Amino acid sequence: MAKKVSTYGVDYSRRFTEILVSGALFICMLICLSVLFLIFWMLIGNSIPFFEEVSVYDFLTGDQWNPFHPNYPLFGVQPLLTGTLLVSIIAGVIAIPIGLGASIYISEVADPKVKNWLKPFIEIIASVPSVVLGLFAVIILADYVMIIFDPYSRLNALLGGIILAVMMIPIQVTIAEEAMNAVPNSLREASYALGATRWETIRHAVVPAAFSGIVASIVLALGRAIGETMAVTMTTGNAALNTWNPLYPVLTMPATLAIEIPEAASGSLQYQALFAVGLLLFIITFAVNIVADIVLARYREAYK
Amino acid sequence: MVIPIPKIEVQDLNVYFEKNHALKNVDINIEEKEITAIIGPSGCGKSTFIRCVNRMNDLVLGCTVKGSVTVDGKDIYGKGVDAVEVRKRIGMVFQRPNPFPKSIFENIAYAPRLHGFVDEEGKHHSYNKQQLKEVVEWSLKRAALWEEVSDRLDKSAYNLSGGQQQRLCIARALAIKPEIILFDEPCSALDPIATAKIEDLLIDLKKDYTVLIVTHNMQQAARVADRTAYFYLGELIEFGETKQIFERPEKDLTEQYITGRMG
Amino acid sequence: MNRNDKQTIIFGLLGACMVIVVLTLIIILGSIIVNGIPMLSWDFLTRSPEIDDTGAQTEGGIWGPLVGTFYLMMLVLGFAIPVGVLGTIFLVEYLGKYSWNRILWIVINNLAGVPSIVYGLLGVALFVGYLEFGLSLIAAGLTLGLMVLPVTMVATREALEAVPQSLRDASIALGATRWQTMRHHTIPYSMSGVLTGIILSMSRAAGETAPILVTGVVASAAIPNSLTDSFQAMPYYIYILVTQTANVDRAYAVAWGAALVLVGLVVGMNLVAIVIRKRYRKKYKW
Repeated sequence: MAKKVSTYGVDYSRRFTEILVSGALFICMLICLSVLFLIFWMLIGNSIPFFEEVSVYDFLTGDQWNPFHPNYPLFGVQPLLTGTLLVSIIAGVIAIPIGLGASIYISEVADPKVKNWLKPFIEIIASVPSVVLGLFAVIILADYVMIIFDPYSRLNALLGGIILAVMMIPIQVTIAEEAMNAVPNSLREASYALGATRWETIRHAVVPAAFSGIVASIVLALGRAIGETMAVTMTTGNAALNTWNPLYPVLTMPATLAIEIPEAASGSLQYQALFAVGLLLFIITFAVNIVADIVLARYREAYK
Repeated sequence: MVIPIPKIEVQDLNVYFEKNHALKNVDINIEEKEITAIIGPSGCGKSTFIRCVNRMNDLVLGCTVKGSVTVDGKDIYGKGVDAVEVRKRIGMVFQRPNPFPKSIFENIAYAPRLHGFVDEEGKHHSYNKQQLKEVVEWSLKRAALWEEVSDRLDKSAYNLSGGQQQRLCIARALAIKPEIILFDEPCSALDPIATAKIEDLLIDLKKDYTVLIVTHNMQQAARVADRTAYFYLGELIEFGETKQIFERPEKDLTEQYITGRMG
Repeated sequence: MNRNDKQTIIFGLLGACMVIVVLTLIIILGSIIVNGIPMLSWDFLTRSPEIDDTGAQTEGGIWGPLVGTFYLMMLVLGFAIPVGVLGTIFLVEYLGKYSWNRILWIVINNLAGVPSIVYGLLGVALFVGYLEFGLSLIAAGLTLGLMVLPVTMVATREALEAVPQSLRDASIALGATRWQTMRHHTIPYSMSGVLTGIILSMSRAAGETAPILVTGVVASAAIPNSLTDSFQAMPYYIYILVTQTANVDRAYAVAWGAALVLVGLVVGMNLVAIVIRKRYRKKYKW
């Protein structure tokens, strides 16, 4: 038999398929990346003409928001910032302790069987559309808030904060539980071996080990609360009052955008002002997410 | 008298990862139908070396290979050579068994189905069902696994033990009908009994194949290899018959390693 | 107080937190079900909203919004998801080893957390304005697509990276090309993760209101005949019923019914995703 001659030459039809496929994938990637970077471009590009009319300082420090006033439109973002922060703080005050307790319970205390049911249940609740939670808040929850807190109006910052807390908890619990789950069992066993009780083990071994994961869960949930639009638009009354009183109606930044964009003529100063609000909102949430990322990265580093 | 032509001829091979000079001026000839063991402390470039022979290093980012690796008289790093065609002719078995999460049959049939075969007249064919079965059976028999798995070819490869999985990976490599098989520490994840089985198989495979094996286990090299190469810090320190390397090493570095004073 | 008493009290508190969470969720789901079920009927599902005495759309059913939401999901499935999945395959399988890739993914990951209304703004500027689609089905569908793009990409990447490198090496060493390796191994093995991501993206698109609110949804719109028509959608219909309708009793009743259908749709999709994930995890474990 003649010895097989090795050539290792190129198989052109196969090479062609390879180039075709990688080319198609490459184009899809270009579309993805260009679209994602468009978001920066569009927000900045549409805000610049606004900042040529109204200075950044006036925008950030102005305490009145009334862009549609026929003679004296006012573009102070303070009331919107206050409203957004107030609602988020209320939500955080309610959600953070309860969410923390619940995530420790699921991860460390609950029976594995119960845990197997709780986790998907909470996951499913996280998927309920915010407009539906808004509906619940407006029709049912508002009545109880009226009776218990006697607010200035039926729709107010407190109501918005409560329903936002309901949205925050599943996000917070899912991430925090994951972080505590990732703590190696050897750590718990080491603590038990030193004579610690289950609570002492949780308190001094598990929680410190998962600390940055827990912090990240809170930060990410707060980020979601700051950007939430529909539930807040439906529940907070949408009046740009610049107040820190939770019993008054407030106007948040996302709600401003949802309500006023359809009313603003394309290219008008109001339209550009809304893009400036969008840019500010984007910067805030993006910064919050980056903080969470850094915290999470540190925690992953510790467990490598 | 016929002067044997080396199966693999490596000349002045240099490999860089970014700026790290991983292999330095390596010259070595691998003889046909022998087992050549590559030994040396970790980080000495032995895995890098073996991955040059089937151009697996092409996939590593920032890796540059200089010099020539000639297989059957053809430089596989030469112009117009397709790395994929090189890998079709050279089998490789990895450190940890890595069967695909498919049935035993599918694991072995994968490559034959992909490549088809070339008949005596040089025509290219696809395997039909019957031929595919024959290839799978032949490969499993050759890898000494047939008797253990013949009744459950349609079961997941993940149900096999570690040693069986590794022999499945050998069978999978045999199914591409290579002449050369590369083993990258094939027993490092196996227990002694599974290791012994693989070693027996290696010696049996030598009849038909040229075998290159990287190992950190010196006893293993001594047991199976005809020739042994000792690498240290990216350089080929010594290469010769296994017996000579282990009993009368010429270089001090080799002797230190063999006697366990280093590594 | 001794250590064990302390532990009992604290575990009690933790359990109480859990009970509060579970109870809240049950109350919310329960009120949707209790208030929604009386509305459900064949007519409710198959008739479009009709105008009542006060001029609001509270009569009839939810057919129009349902169709609109279905169209939106199809647009997301048709444009954003394939581009996102395929683009991610390139980013991970061809460029995954570059160090800038990690930074890029931090950005993409964070874009997934950007508020949906900001994507709405982007849609207004890009599709409604710049590309002159006007307030339309296509503008809203593409805007939702923008919103789910980072989510889809992150899910796809996670699924691809879960496939061990050793399996890719095995296939390449057998002489398979990169594409053959992806087609026969990486893609099938990561399919469950990718599918889960796709379903979750679609369910998010179905439930989102803010981005479509600014890009083309109209309460009184008919079922769209073309991509440039305006349209109705389920979440927006609920929003309008709750916030802008005078005939409150009737409007709230319809809103509960619509909410039940929407939650059923979204939760159903999520359940499917959970089942797929569980089943495939058993199939491919390494």
